[in-house]
Amino acid sequence: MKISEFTTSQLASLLRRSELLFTMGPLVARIKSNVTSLASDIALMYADFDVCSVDAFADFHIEVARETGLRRWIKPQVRFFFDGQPSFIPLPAAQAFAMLEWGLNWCVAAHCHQYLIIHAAVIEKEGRAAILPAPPGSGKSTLCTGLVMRGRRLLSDELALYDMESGMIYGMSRPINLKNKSIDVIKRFAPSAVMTAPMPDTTKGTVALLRPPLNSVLCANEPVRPLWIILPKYSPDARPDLVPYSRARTFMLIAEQSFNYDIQGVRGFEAIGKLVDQGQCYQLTYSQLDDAQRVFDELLARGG
Amino acid sequence: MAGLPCPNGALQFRIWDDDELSVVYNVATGDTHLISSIDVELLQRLPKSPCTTETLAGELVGLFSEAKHAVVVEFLDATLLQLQTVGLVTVAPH
Repeated sequence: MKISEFTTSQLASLLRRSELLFTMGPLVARIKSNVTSLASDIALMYADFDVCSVDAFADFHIEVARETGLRRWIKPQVRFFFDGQPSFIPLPAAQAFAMLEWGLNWCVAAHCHQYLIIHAAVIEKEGRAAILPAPPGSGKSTLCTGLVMRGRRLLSDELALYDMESGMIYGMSRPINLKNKSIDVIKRFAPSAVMTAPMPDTTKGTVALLRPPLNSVLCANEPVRPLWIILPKYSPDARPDLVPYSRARTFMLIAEQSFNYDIQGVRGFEAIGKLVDQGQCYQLTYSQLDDAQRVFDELLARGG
Repeated sequence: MAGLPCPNGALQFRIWDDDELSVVYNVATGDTHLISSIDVELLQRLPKSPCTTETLAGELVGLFSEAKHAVVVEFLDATLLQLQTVGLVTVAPH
């Protein structure tokens, strides 16, 4: 069953009983929560995700719970639990869904060492995939969203799961985290995009999550072999410019942007080498999503 | 300065024909470094036993055919110092 086949009250009931399990690509999360708003946010953002049976194996056991005590009457807060243990500082209750998303990211980044976990967006079209590794502020999520809203498949906005044996990358096709000005940029660029209400005053500023397209979610278990590694660089008023980029520098960027490169040892070194070897490396400077879209279309048309 | 390479096999290189830069992984420290092509040459050609920079300059004369010996020695000293700083070569005790 899909999450969309449940009513919000049914989802809330499953959440209260710790019986909501859903797939995120190759992983399964079990969620528990007594936060009422979380059911409607999950219904909105994860509508097309598969629900697992209550006795299925779950990679992560997660809870987002209201804080108890007098404070809950004045400034209610929520806290994230992993395997029953409190993790992170509490956040305002209005940020419960952002906390769930960030907590899920942490669960994957801190535990799934069967993969090299790269902080990168991954998109695919016609069997050709691009990985977009980049530090925060490079416009990665905005660019990824723009491309996805024009028909490319979303594998990842944040966490690319690189299988070091096969050289394939898995995504989870989870909601895209948009911040600050990007929210309005995407609203203008793709008015049909489904988003949560903006959550102001988070540690990342104002945040809104965007629902991944149906086709991306349906293919969430299909890995890709990236053909391109493209470093996005947003620059106001810049004309689109795609230039070849040093493979060695690309290697270092991917290593820096990997959450668990340090613990993979020489295996991680060889794996990134293989990733850089098998694709073309570019840097893309852009200011307009339409321009970037054309660059990607031209790259696809010439096949490399 | 005298330079010693890391033990055989302790450095893993990734070199691309279309790139002047390379990367090297130091198995002993777990660190990865971005290095130049001359660094690669030095690290791969350093002799297996300690030697002075003077000797090294003589052995690498083919790489610096047009440079004066003293200039090569000075350059190697500076390069080896950088490599020593990041733990890719060690100074042998006299």
